[in-house]
Amino acid sequence: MDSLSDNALMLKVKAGDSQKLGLLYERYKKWIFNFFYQMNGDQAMSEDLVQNVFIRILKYKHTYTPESKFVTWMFQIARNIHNDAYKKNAKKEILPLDEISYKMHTKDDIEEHIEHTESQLLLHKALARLPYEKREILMLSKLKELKYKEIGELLGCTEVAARTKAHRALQDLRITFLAMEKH
Amino acid sequence: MKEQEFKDLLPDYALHRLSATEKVAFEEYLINHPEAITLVDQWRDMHALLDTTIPEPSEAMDTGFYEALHATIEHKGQPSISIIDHIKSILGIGNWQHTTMRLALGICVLLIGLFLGNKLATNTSGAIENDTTLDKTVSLEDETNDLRSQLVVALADQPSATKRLKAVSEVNKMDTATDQVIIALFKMLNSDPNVNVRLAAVASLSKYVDNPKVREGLVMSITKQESPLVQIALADLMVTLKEQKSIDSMETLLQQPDINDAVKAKLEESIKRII
Repeated sequence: MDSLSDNALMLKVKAGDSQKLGLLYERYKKWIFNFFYQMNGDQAMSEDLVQNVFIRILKYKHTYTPESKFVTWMFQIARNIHNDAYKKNAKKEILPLDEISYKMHTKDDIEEHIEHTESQLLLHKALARLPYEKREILMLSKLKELKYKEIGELLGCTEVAARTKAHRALQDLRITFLAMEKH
Repeated sequence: MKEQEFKDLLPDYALHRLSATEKVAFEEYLINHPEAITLVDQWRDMHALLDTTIPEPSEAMDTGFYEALHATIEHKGQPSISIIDHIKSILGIGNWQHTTMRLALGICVLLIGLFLGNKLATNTSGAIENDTTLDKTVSLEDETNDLRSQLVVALADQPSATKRLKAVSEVNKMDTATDQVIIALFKMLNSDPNVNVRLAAVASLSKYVDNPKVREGLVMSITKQESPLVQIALADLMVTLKEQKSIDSMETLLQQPDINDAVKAKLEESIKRII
């Protein structure tokens, strides 16, 4: 086994070499952050949740087995953490639109962002209108390292069902987005 | 492929989840049905737009994580009371009550701890720490390169020329270019509608001419260029490389009836200099 593979690193963490968690953190922090951010639209909250994921990995390292793919196991933890936070902060789920607008104007290339602002806001609004489950599978399916089979394992369904659900979610997002663009 | 199959594959195309076989079939369908390209663009644009709304996580996230990690490691490094009790029991001093004796035991344990701690710090810990740091550095360098490769590929596909130029500038920050990056650069050189992007791709590819595939690709690209500026840039590069194989390509270009006069002169001069 490659000594720097996810599984090898996680097994070292499990054996007590907790420092190795830093490598896994560097490898996946951005993915998990993106997943959380697209689910809740809150940067500070997403950053806290990323930290919680890795602290929980350390806490429950004894439950990790090499038979399970690390990414799948990690995302199961991430989903649980997000579900807990979602229940606590249901009202804060989506970033207010004026805040998105403010963030765009702080970027360097204002001209390009102005071109996209309207579409971005509409898409974000369309995304927010999707049910939680659809948004979740959409965000999971954007992570290419997670195969449909693994997404199915995470969601408790078959590979085919996971693919169908992901397609429907993307299709719904597109329909909602196009309908909002026309108005 | 039928229309319905094409539509079924659209979401996976947007999600970059098509297998190699599906991708070939999908792209063949697009060649035969150019009217479907607009629909594909709509899906791809929407998908790209989803990613552009994501900010970068702040440094505070890293700081928070590493502080928590170190706190956990340090906490585990402290000897627990049960270990002291265990030592006492081994030494048969578990029932000692006298304060002076307790103090003496404490000092002994402290001295042993200091000795072992010092020994470990100079030998094992140093080696482990160096090993860990080295592992981490190598891994982070690899990951940075991988991430930059992915960024280049993603930017190279953007509809905005500014972003495609950004892709080339990202390549210039890389120590070594991956195959993915080389392919992306050639795609820009051979098919980008913007001349500036093509010129930037020539400049960037010129850094990798030690790779025979890159040299070959550059030679083959000569006949694919329509812009005089790119044709001249490639001719200059061929002269610098003294690339004999480019002579055929340049002669083919010279045969074209609508060739620009300046380019014609440049190519003739370049061929002479290479020979």
